[in-house]
Amino acid sequence: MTAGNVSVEERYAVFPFYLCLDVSASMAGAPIDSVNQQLPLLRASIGEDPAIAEVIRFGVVTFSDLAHTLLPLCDLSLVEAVPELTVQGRTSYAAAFHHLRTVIETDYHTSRAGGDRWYRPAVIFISDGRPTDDSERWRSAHQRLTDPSWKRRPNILSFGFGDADPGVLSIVSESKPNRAFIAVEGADPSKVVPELMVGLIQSIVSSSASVYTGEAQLVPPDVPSMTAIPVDPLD
Amino acid sequence: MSSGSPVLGRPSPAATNAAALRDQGGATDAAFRADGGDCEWCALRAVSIAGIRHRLSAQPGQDSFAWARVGDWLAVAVADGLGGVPGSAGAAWRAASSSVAAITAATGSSSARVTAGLEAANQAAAGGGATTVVLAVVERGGQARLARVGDSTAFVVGDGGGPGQELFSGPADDDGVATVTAALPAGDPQPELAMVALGRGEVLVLVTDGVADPWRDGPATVAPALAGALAGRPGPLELAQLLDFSRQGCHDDRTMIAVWLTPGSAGEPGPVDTHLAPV
Repeated sequence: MTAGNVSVEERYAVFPFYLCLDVSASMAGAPIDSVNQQLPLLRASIGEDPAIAEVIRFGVVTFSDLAHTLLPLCDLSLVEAVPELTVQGRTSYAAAFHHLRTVIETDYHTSRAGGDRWYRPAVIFISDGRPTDDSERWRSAHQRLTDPSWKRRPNILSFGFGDADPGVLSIVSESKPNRAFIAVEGADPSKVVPELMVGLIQSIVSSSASVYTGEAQLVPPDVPSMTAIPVDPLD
Repeated sequence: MSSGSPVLGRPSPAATNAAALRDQGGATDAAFRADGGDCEWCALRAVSIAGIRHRLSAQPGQDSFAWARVGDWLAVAVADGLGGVPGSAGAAWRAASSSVAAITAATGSSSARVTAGLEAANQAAAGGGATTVVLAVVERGGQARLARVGDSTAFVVGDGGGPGQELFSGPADDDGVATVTAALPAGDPQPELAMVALGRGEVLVLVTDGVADPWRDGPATVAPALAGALAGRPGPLELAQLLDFSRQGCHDDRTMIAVWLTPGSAGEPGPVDTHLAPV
């Protein structure tokens, strides 16, 4: 008899999503106002549907000069309100990536101790600008976050508008096809951000639905005013 | 059905919603399917339940099962159509029914019959969709040979109601949840093989991952509840109600075939009686 081991601890599979949002000064006005209007809708859409809320865990990380956890990873059905976002400072991608690495590792161990078993976490990275820290610094932080030897490394979907650089966003999403998106030329951020938030809700709903089939996958949002950044084939 | 089903572990709020009456239903897309019976040397129960997501959207499940008894041996198969591939419910049905039909038609050893069953399943799955399959040939003396492609699997449960022994390797415990599985059709299927001699009171259980995952993840809840019930040889409807358990995050289709030997029947010849019941 070739035997597989039956585990000794109770476990419940969950799919963690982290919204990693640029709150630098350039996000002031319509972009951040849109996010603040849409986050309660996201909380309601996800948290009030038990079939989704059972498996989705959602957290919000913000970054400017520094990165913070605005909403710790949680079951949205237990959240009464999402804190409002405010803008300040510059656009440190390094701060975002360092913070995500720490938060994901900490959350994993807390969650695991509570009986959860994780699907690979997803990070939804949204920025309206280029990194203001030097290239080596943010790339180094990004490499730590996506280190193949780190079991909790997330899948990253990145979205850019305004002054965001498609080439940088492609790197953020590890040059994987259909993982990095940029607003179409001339798109108004006040239109892009609401579309993106609606698309994010659909992405989470679709991703949670895939969990039910036993074949979980990260489903990218469909955002009409954004286009996938092409990935160059290697020779 | 769901109103009397047990909660095993943290309850699933969505399971409550899924118990509501669907907008429509028909004979071929029934959310609950149960079959089985007893003969002089073995007993069989087969149950398939559409997952919560399928029930909430009034869709049929994508799992399937088939079985046939031919005198002193029994062929059983369980298949799980992959949700991400269109046409997979049909692929699972064809794989399960074709494999059992091929085992029935084949000659030679149990090992040869298993090989024939797998080849037939692979050919049948090629008609569209993708599916896992686990199948077994059980002889009257309790010898069983099994094969699988994908993450459907098999357990042996003792009469003491312990957690059971998985006959194939479980998913790697790399602190995460596996989301990729092998499937049919495949150019080179690479089946995993297993064999077991069923002892007195032991139950051979073939399941899709909708059962296997919570079985592994619920060693204090799901595993003892299922193993304990199987030790008591429940009727098909009882087993269906148990298999419809509520558990947080467990929403996949669930299918199980369980086979018991009748005490004192080992080695005794039986009448020829063929029955094929693909679902």
